[in-house]
Amino acid sequence: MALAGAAATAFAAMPPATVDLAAEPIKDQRQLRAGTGCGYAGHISMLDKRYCDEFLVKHPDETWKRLAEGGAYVVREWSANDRWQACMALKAAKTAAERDAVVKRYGGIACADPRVVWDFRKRHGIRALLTLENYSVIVDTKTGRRSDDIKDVKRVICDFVHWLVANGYKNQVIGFELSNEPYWGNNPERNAARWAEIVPEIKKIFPEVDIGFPIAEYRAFDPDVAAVRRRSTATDKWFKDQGYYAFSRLNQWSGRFIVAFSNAIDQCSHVIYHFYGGYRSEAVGPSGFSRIHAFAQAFPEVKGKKVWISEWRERSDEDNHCHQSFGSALTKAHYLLSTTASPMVDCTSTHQLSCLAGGFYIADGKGDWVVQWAEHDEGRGYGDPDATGVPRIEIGPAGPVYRLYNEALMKHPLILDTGVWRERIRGEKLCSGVLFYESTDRVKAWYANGCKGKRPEMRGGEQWVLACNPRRTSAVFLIANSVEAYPWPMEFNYKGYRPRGKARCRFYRCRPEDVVMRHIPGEKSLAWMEEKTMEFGKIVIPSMCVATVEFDIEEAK
Amino acid sequence: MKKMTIATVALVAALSAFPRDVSIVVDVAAKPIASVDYSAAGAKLGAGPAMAKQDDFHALVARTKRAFAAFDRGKTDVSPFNGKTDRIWTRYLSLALRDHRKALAHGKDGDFEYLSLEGRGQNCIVAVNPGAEPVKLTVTLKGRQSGDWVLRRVSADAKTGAVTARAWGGYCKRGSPVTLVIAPRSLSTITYRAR
Repeated sequence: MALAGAAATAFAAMPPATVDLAAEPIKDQRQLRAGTGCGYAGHISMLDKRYCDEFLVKHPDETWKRLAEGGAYVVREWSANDRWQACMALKAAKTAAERDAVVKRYGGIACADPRVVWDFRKRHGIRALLTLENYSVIVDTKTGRRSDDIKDVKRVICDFVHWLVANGYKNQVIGFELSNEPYWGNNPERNAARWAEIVPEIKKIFPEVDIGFPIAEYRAFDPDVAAVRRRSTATDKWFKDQGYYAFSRLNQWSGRFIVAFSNAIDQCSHVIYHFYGGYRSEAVGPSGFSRIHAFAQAFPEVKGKKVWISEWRERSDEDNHCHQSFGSALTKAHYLLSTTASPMVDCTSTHQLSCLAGGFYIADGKGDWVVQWAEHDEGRGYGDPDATGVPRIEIGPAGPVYRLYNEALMKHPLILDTGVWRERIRGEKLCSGVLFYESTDRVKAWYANGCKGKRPEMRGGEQWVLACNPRRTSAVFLIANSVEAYPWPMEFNYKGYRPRGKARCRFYRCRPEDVVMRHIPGEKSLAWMEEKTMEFGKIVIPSMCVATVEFDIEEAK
Repeated sequence: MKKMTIATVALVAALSAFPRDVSIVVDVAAKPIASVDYSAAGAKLGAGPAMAKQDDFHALVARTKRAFAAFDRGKTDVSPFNGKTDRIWTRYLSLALRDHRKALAHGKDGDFEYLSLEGRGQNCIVAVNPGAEPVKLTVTLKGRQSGDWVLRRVSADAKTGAVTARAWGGYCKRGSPVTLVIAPRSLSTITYRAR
């Protein structure tokens, strides 16, 4: 209490920031195909047919109820053209034998009808970022024969785009990604030449669609490089004994691609980054934003293009378990605030919806929770004591963060201001998230080493984003408060408009001692939600809390 | 006399605050005492008529200890658990037996008892602490490296006897012994990575 009192006295010396509710927005999310832009990589139909049937065919309403609880309004689909082809093949199968053959061949990606997935998205306003692949396409679903002939590839991709347009799904498409991480060992010139043939054709069918291409911007010790090396022998050989040069070769990929892609680059509106690592030198924080700016300096061809961060996480596959804590959810909340307030970032997709990454847990119905890349037998999964034979979805610790932020942003798409505590600071420069992440790491180490001495304090910052609705009748603060020592008495001065009436506060919080503890899928959460109305001037954001504070506004006379 | 009583109470309370130390060495290369036939154990765990008396923590402790003793005799079946409290505990115990089919050791320290299990790249300690004092458990793994743990716990309130369940995951420096405090009046499964 004494500390809190002293801190309060010291803080009182600095006047609250003045925020302008009549200001030109930093970003108008109505103009973005990605909408709120806060979402997940992956989607519910990317698991095999069994999940698709259970979740989208048999119980779509229950499925949506769950997905909404985890704020899954933005998703990302890998290999979208391949999946569409497999689904169409299954739909076209006339006999049971034909259906069985398609399921056997493409069961891992096929759903009964692609319209089931897309109608579900349309009904619930879900927007999808679609990754297209140009390596080869299916040319005979009966034999499984594929072709890498560019004419075939172009035809199939255009058929897919045409199908999306003809069936009225344009508003559900955020845009197309030109390959998922093609820089892991593929030829950039060949990749660019093929996309240069395809992109103009896509634009003829769907002129307003956004198209983006990936940039490789990795650094030594990047956790995703370690994770990819574990999965890929080829990549592992590539990096062996030549760390610096391997990174150079990896990062040179983008430069070579851009040069080779010059014919079609103007038709692409976005660049794509995959960011992993939550320490300050890693990508999920100011360092990542700097990399984007630095690359645009080096390659003016991409200057002015918007950004999709279509995969990100504070750790990669090397540590799935760390994502099951409230601390991870709070770290994610900080980054979402930074990217939401960044004028250049249109969309972020946390990797990923269908693995143990914090947003959702998916039970396979057979006794385990779904884990990507690693089998339960490696000791990385969780057993499910409640298996009933059918898959089910539960909400992970990060799910409520996406729900709170998405629900606030859908009503308030004009992003007005951002900062930390009483200061207005550009979101890209804010270090609250990385500081908090590093402090949670110290707490984990303290636990792991036997709790010797006093537990380190967790401290990030009181980060906020202010948004309002287009009619300027209501506004909302999106908040991540990761200061353990004391709660945050939220005070601002207002310009242009002023608050009217009480604020509607939604808090998602956790006891400090449970912040780094892992939530176990299927068990009671260690965090909880609170909703209350509070008077202006008396709003206090609890420590270790993700919050939205919504209030009506009126013109200041 | 009154002062003595207060002092005694204070001493007991102070001693209770310091957990008793129990150390276990798990040797994965040792000959297992039994293999869990989960199809039999699982069926037994979930079967049988409901009995209101079983909604009692001490009955649950007794049954779990009898199950441990059965493993000592190389048997793999476990007495049926039923009733409200039993279902909470059975949920955890079933999972421990399903995923860790090799019973490595059964041991005790006073009224504290444990069964050590192995399987699927993990080790699991099923711990019974019916006493009023916490137990500081240290598990040293021979032959493999231990890692972060998951604790699933059923504990009884000291005053009301009401039983509640809680599960969470904690941390262990890879290769170091797993250490954690087992709450008084509790039944726990502790699962940790062992590779």
